[in-house]
Amino acid sequence: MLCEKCQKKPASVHLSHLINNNVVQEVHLCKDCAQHVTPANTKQSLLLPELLAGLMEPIIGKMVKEMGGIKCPACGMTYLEFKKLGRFGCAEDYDVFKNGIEQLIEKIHGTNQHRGKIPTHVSKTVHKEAELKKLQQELEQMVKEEKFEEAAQVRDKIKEYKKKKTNGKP
Amino acid sequence: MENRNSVKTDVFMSQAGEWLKAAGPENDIVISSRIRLARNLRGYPFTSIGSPEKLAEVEALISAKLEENKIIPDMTYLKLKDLTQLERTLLVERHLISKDHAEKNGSRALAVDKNESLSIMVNEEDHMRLQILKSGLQLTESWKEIDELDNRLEKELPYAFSPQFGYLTACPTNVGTGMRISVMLHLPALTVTKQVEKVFQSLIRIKFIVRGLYGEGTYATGDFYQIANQISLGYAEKDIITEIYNIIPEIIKYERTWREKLLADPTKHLEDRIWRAYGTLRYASSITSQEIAEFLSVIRVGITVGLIKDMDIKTLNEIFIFSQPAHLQKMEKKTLNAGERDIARAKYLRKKLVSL
Repeated sequence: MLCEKCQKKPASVHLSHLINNNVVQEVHLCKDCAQHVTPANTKQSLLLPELLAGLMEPIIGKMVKEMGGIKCPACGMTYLEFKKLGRFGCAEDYDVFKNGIEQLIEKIHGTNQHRGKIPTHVSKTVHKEAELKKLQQELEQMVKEEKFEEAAQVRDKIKEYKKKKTNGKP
Repeated sequence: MENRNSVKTDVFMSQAGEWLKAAGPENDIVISSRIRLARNLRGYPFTSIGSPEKLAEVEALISAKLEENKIIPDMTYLKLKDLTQLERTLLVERHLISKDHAEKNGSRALAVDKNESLSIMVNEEDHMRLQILKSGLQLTESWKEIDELDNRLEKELPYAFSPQFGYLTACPTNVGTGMRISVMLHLPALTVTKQVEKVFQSLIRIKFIVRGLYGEGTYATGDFYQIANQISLGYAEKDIITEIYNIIPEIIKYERTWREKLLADPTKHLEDRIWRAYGTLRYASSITSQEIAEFLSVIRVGITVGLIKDMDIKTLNEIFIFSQPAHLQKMEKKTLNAGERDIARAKYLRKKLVSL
């Protein structure tokens, strides 16, 4: 077999990329070409957890003093453990560590306010509040951009919403 | 060879997923569209720290609800601990589970429909990872179906959700919509002309990520790439989809232009490379996985530009899946080393292509 890279010299180095000990990719190279090869794993783009650790270090470092002693009563995970693992232990952690994660989440996503789908089991007030918050943000944005006509429309919508809320109707 | 319960995945050998049929739009360049939603149950620890008992409870609850309510049509439900390592790898090669899901132990499972289109990984990093996989560029359709699946599940299971952070996930990079969209593209012309780097750099700037064939941590094989959204919080699902829809046609146009340029340039020998690959695929007696990735890539170009007329993309897609290591070993019903697999691969190809 000829070297896959130079196609000249015989292949004497055989590299395998393994998943569960099953080879998913094989590369056959001559001695010379093999010396210039970086293993597949080092060539990969940064993995999310690594990326995350990089993001977390400067932010969380600052928070450790304040948050260091905090522990989730539901799953037992401490803020320090979260910092180490980059993974939450349970859904409650988001609430328990709230002060220590808002900045991190904003760093990752550019915001810390959800604007997507809301499950129907979440009470209708939550639905409404989220909608109201969204409208208020829209309003702020429009005022900033000096789109006053659109802003007035959104303002009316907000009024309408608040009125409905006091009537107790959806 | 582990033979224990190896019949559980036999069904996958007699069929190929719906997404391989190459029936979707732009299928000359877009292989597949995939949307994944991460969901967790309120009141249970996440998978990474949950005790075996708690995770078994989560798995039992999810599987019971799926069965009772027929949430996935014509569902196959596989507990990973009942499967051999080879069968798990088969599911990875099939794009139904992640490498991580295949490698780790515990109460993990896969629920999948008959078409291999809708699926749920149970107790992966999150309690549920819902997935839809479709042929070509079909994100709006995909969103509609996975949204409905999510609605059916939500009626039966208590989701962990916060008005501020959205759907709560084990990793803060998935929180919010819990959604990751990935579009698999075949970009041989942009790869060979090194234009692909430019495309990726601009994608990264607008917060998209580019990955290899099997998701996070894999590298591109045979010029196939996955483009995915990096941000999951702060946007409505439909807005993220629109954003991808704005980008993909640009990349498709760019790839098509470069394909034409390459074909028109006799010094690039593209036509020769296509026919050589085609000949080798039909007549070789041993083919490595690296070789087949390269051959399938150029042959795909040959088919899409109309040079090769007796083979279609559907056949090519099937070969792509069935010529992978676990599929070959399942086919041969025994463990094969790398060299034996190369021979089995060529044997499969000759058999598959003899009818053309």
